[in-house]
Amino acid sequence: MGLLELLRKLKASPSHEIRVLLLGLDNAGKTTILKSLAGEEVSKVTPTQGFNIKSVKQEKWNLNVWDIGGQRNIRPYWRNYFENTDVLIYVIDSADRKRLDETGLELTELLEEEKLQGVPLLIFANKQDLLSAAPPGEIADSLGLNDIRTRTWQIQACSAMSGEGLEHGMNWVLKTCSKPK
Amino acid sequence: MILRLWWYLYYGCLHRMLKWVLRRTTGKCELERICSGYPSGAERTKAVENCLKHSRIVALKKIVTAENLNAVEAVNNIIALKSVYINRNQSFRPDLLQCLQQIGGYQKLVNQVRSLQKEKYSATEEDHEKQLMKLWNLMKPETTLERRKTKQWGQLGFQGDDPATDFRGMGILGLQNLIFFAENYNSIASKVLSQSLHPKFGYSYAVVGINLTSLIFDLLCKKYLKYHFYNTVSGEPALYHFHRVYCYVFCEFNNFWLTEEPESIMEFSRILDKYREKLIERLREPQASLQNNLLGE
Repeated sequence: MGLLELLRKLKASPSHEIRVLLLGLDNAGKTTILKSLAGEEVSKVTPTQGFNIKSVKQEKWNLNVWDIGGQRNIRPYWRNYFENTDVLIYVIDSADRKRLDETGLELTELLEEEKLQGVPLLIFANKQDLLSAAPPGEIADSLGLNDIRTRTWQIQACSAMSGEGLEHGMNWVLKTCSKPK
Repeated sequence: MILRLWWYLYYGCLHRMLKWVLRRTTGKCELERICSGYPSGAERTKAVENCLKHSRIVALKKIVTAENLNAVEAVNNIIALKSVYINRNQSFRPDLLQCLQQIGGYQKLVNQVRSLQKEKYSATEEDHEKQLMKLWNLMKPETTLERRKTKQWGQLGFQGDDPATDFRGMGILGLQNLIFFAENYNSIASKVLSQSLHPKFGYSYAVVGINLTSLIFDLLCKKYLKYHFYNTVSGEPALYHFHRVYCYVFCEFNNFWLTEEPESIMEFSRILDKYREKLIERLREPQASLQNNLLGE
């Protein structure tokens, strides 16, 4: 093995790097979750044009979290970010019952993508602080999560504004990533 | 470390000694020397601000951070405290008053803008709904809105069929900026909107507009707009002046975006960051002034 090749190999496998892809419809709360994970203020979030990325240190892990805009005309670009994803986090506005079908369709399409085959899936059932929020069980049914056989998945109720539930979800991410593949 | 020591030494004693000597020789206090020594604008107001900040008199120190400064009263207090001979220096009072109005006005503006940012858009609030409709009518006078919630909002660059969710963290401030632009520079706003629909270099007008509100709100809170206001507003800067900065920035960013020829909308964050850096660089100059022919003035 040449020196260059050895260096490249070392660089390619920093064992504690995790690439997390944050997707979901517009107004689901992806950027608020990203900011909350990074310990930043969440009261001044604006709609994402394009994408945001942040590195979040958690224990020995370095999570590179990609938050891609959820607006309809941005969704076609989602696929540009699939490569090498370790975990897919799909965020749902639990209070937006009218769009539960739409978000379900987008998720089904995502799960059929070849580059995301076998990638573990965490669903954040966000905005649980709102009275009108659907409980995670109802969302899981609506999305047909129980039919998923080809990957590990988890649904976690949360409120990105208060931070509640996020830690639980992220612990699941770390636990899943530390299992030998 | 050495710099800090020098700073301490300078303001702790050297500065005071110098001031004492100058006071004896010129017969003027430092504020008087500043007002007659600098032309009106950011250089003078900044020097006054700095002088007050380092004053040994608590009442003077407080002027710089006062939430609701009464500039006239503050000028009278300074003249009395420093025993200034007003008859000998007629221009001192109006000059100092202008500086204090600018300093106090900036702080008031920050508070006013903050409260608008904190006011969440609410669809049950009649006034908010009225404002939203006003925006539509100003930008799309020829098209009637079919319903309150409709895909038509996409024509203005909102994300979904209800703009309410897009205002988010910027609240009513985001909406009022968009309205001000549409109302006062209608033809320019329409031109920017049509350019935002470019098939290759397009972007979502309203969403980008809300992100630009976030940009200048942040600059205002971090005091980057001080020099601009000190140079361009002779009294207290008002909400109106903040809105005008917004219009200027929207036009300029639009031009910047187009000259960058982005691959796609996914380049937005990168290009916005780049624009922000350039803007800050200019705002740091003592002669900063966001005014030129962009708005046809």
